[in-house]
Parts: sequence; structure tokens; C-alpha cells
Amino acid sequence: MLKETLTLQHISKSFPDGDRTLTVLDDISLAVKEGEFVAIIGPSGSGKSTLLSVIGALLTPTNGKVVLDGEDISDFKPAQLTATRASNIGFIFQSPNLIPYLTVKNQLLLVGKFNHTNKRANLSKMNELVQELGLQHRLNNYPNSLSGGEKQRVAIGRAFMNNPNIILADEPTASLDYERGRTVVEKIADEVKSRRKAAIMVTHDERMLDVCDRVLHIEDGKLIEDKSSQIKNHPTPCQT
Amino acid sequence: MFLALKEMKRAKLRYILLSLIMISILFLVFFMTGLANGLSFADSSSLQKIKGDYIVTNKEAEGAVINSELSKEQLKEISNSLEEPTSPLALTMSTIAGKTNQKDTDMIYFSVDPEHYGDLNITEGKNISDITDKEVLVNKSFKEDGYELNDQLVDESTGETMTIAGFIENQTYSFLPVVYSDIDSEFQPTQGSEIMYNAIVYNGPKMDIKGYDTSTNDEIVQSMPGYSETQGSFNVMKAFMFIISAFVSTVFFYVLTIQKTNQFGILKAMGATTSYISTSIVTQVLLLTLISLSVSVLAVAGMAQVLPEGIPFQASVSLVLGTGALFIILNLAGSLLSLYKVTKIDPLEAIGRSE
Ligand SMILES: Nc1ncnc2c1ncn2[C@@H]1O[C@H](COP(=O)(O)OP(=O)(O)OP(=O)(O)O)[C@@H](O)[C@H]1O
Ligand SMILES: [Mg+2]
Repeated sequence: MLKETLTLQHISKSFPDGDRTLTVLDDISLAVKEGEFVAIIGPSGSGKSTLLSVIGALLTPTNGKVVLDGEDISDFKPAQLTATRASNIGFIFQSPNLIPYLTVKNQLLLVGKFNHTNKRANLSKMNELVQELGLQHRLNNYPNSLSGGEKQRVAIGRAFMNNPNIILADEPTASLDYERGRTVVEKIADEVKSRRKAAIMVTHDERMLDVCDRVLHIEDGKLIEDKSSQIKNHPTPCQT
Repeated sequence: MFLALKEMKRAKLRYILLSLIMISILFLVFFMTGLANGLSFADSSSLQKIKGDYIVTNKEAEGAVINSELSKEQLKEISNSLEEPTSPLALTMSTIAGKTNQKDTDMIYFSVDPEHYGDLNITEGKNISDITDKEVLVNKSFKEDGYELNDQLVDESTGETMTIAGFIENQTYSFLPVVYSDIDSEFQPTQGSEIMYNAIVYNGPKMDIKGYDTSTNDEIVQSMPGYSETQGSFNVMKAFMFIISAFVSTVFFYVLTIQKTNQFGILKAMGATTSYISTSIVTQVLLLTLISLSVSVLAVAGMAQVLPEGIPFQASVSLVLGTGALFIILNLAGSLLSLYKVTKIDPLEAIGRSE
């Protein structure tokens, strides 16, 4: 029986919008198991990034429970949220968002400093990830001398550095061409499988969906699970 | 620390330029303040250094020694009402005839009673209490005009010849070098036949003498004709320089931090605490300010060495320390202002957004 890394129970999120409130997420329930790679697709403005932010301890939900690794984080204070992000969540953003003045090596090592990992463990973790991502010959390069794909791979490495239980990626391939994007998504999938993490990826590119285990559609803040793509490696039929 | 140092190492040029700006600003502040202080110092230093607790002048002078006139009788009258030994003081401007092929030197006599006048800070030679009839102590600036110990000076208007018995330092009045002489040797030119005195100097408790003013050194400096007006201008100048340069450097650090807002958002999304980011910012500000401060102090010190004697310059340790502390505080304030922004940065903004 696989452990549930993430459980969302009746999550809703609304923002004040003038006199009214704007409901962006509407009663979303979801469970993601370890080793599972979930894709989220949906039209622009449907609430994908908001959902990812709620899961990623960047936003607290208006209603409902977010249980991450057995811990209910829905009522956490900002400091607790920060600590949760530092220790238990790995983010991959649309653009790599690397720190321009750090070498590849230090990009990864920096993460360990946020949750006070001991130096040696931090270093060996870094070496391990760099090997797996094929970045060993780029260790002392700065971001400006890396290709787009390499940068995104560094960002993946960074997301895995703190050994998080869940990886969240918001359109990680948007700034890459298909080939490179594909490699990046496959790298994420490899890491997720081999390390038994849970991962959620928002994407616009339906060609990436076959890499994922499960595809979720979100529309107007409501979640619709796409049954047809449940089977792995089955190309998604809903191409428009 | 990690981030701060790595960033400075990577963006060397940017931080060097930033330091250069800071150095120039601080240099400007130190240098201009030093010059302004030098000017007021050269104007008044010898009054400040009059050896005595109190200086008695006549009422009409309102504390301005140069405007005070005391006759021999008045001198006696004042002396009698004071218990302590007193020394008369006469300020007389004159000119020393230059040696062959040399310029004349304008100067001012400080004529006193060597027996009752306190010892001066000498750099060379005898002190005032040891001089004999024909001897004088002169300001060190005479050395630049080629005079040495035991050289002869000739007063152009009286034709009197005197011998340099010692050198004193930083003794100028109204930018003229001071020559301390025995009032009884009468080197100084007189108007009419009688010697006129400007003031009486004594050590001891303050005594109010009817018809006369008793003032401290500070008070007579303040009462120098034109002194407080010049000081007023200087102070306004210094104040504005401070305000403007402090403003510039504060804004600089503010902008420097604000530029990195997006980066801080990413760090926060990755789990960096606000205090981790703040420490990094504060480290940078302190480091930059301290480095710039040291370099500019060195530059000012070097500048003070090469400045010719003709340009009076006076920079004190307290000025440097005070300015330094103020700049550190203001620069920190500038970056703390942006730090406030850092606490408000929404890590959300880093997500789902391409640059
Ligand atoms: N802080 C906020 N305040 C008010 N409204 C918000 C806020 N954040 C998001 N929204 C609104 O919520 C809706 C969903 O936003 P979200 O960013 O989740 O969309 P998305 O699905 O990620 O879209 P895209 O595909 O364009 O990235 C949008 O209409 C947006 O305007
Ligand atoms: Mg989005």
C-alpha cells in the first residue's frame, strides 16, 4: 500500500474582489501518492497556479485541509509555512529563476543552508544530483553560461536538494523548445520514480502528458479528473 | 554571509563602482569639513590657545580682543582687583622684512609678560618663560619662509631686530602667523608714544570686574569680528553636504536592494526566511560602508599630508568617527527601508511568472 504524500480535502480559495469575493478554487479534493507524477492542465485563469501555491505552502486555503506528509498545514503561521517550504517542498518554476551570482554547485548548496543541513550531507547530495542530471561538467559555471535546458535541470536539482516529499512544477517547460522540455519533464519523472517522491506539474503542453501517471483538468476552479489518461503512456485524446 | 560575499565576488565591477561612489561622497564630506574647520582654525587658533583661564577686555569691545584697548592705568586697576598674577596681552599686526631676494612676511605680535604667561606648546627651542630680552617665539610657518632657530628677524616698521628662540605650532590669528614676544622689549609698532594693551590674561577663578568683560577662550573666539558669521555659513554648508550625501548614499542602498526584489521572492519560495535575507543585505551594507569609510579616511589623510601649508586643513578623529557612524546608520536605514519591502515580498510572485 503506497503512502499518500498529499491529501487535499474540500479546498477552496477566494480572494476579495472589490465588494464581492472571487472564488478561484472551488471544493477541490485530491490525493497524491508517493512515486506518483500528476499533471494539471486547464485554461488560463482557471486556478492552476493558485492550487499549486496552496499545496506549496505559499498560500493558505480559505476552507479545507491540506495534509502534507501526514501534517495538516492549512492553519500554519507564515514562519511555519516558510519552514515547511524549506524542508518538505521542492519548487520548479516556469523560468529557472536561478540566482545569477551563484555557480551551479552553489545554487544547490544554498538550499541546504535554509534548513541547516550539515555540510557533508549537503555536499554529497549535491554531487549525487549533479551526476543524475548530467551537470557534472558544469559545476562551476554561472547561469549566464548555461543553456536553457541546463538551467532548468539545475532548477530541478535545486528542487530535490532538500529531499522534499513533494515536487511542484509550474509550467517548467514553457521557456524551452519541445525536445528540451521533454528531456526536462523526463528528468523530473526519473527523479520522482527513483526517489519515490510525489510530483505535481502544471503544463500547457499536452505532448508532455504521457510522461505523467495521471492528468487532472481544472476549469473555473473545479477539478475534473481525466479518466482516459489514467493509463500510463496513453496519449491524451482531448487535443483541440 | 554566503549570499552577500558570493554576490560581491561575482559582480565585482558593480560593487567596486558603488564603493567608489561611496568613497567619493565620504571623501567630499571629510575634505570639505576639514577645509572649513581648517579655515576657522587658522582664523582663531591662537586665541583658542591663549594660556589663561580668563581674558579681561574692556566693555566696548564686547569680547573682541582686537577691538579692546586698555591703557597702562587700566591695566594696573585690573591687576589690583585680581589676586592671581596677570599678564598683559597686546595684538599688533606688522611685517617682517624678507631676507635678500625674499618676500616680506605679514605677521602678528602676541606681546605678553613672559614671567606670568603660561608655557606654550613648542616644537623646538626655548619656551616663553626662558626668553631673554631680544628673543621671540614664532609660528612654525616661518620655517617655510626659510627661517631657522637663532635666525634674526627684522621688523619692517620699527627696524627692531629679534632672534628666533623657539618655534610654536598652529598659532595663527586671522591667517597671520603669530610671533610671541616680551611686551617690555617693545618690538611691536605703537600708535603714538604710549603702548596700548588689548587684554589681561590670568589663571584662576572667574572674577567680574566693574567696567570690564571677563571671558573664556571660547567666548573670545566666538566674539572675534566676523567669526560667528563665517561659522554660520560654514555650518550651513556642512549641514547641506551631510544631508545631500547621506541622502544619496541611503537612496543608493535602497535602490540596490529593491532591484533584487524578484530574487528575494524566489529565495523565499525556496524556504529562505526573511531574517536570512536580511542578514545578507545588512552584511553587504556594513562591508561596503566600512571599506569605503577606510579608503576615504586614508585618502583624506594622504591629502592632508600633501596640502601646502597655505591651505589650512583640520580633520579630527571625532569628525571621522561621527561621520562614519552616521553613514553606517543611514545606509542601514536605507537598506532596512528596502528590507521592509523584502518582508512584504510575496514568494507567490516568483511562481508561474517568467522574467
Ligand atoms: N492574489 C489574488 N487576488 C485576486 N485574484 C487572484 C489572486 N491570485 C490569483 N487571482 C485570480 O485567480 C484566477 C486564477 O489564477 P491562477 O494564476 O491560478 O491561474 P492559472 O490557471 O495559473 O492561469 P495561467 O494558465 O494563465 O497561469 C485568476 O483569475 C486570477 O486573476
Ligand atoms: Mg499560472
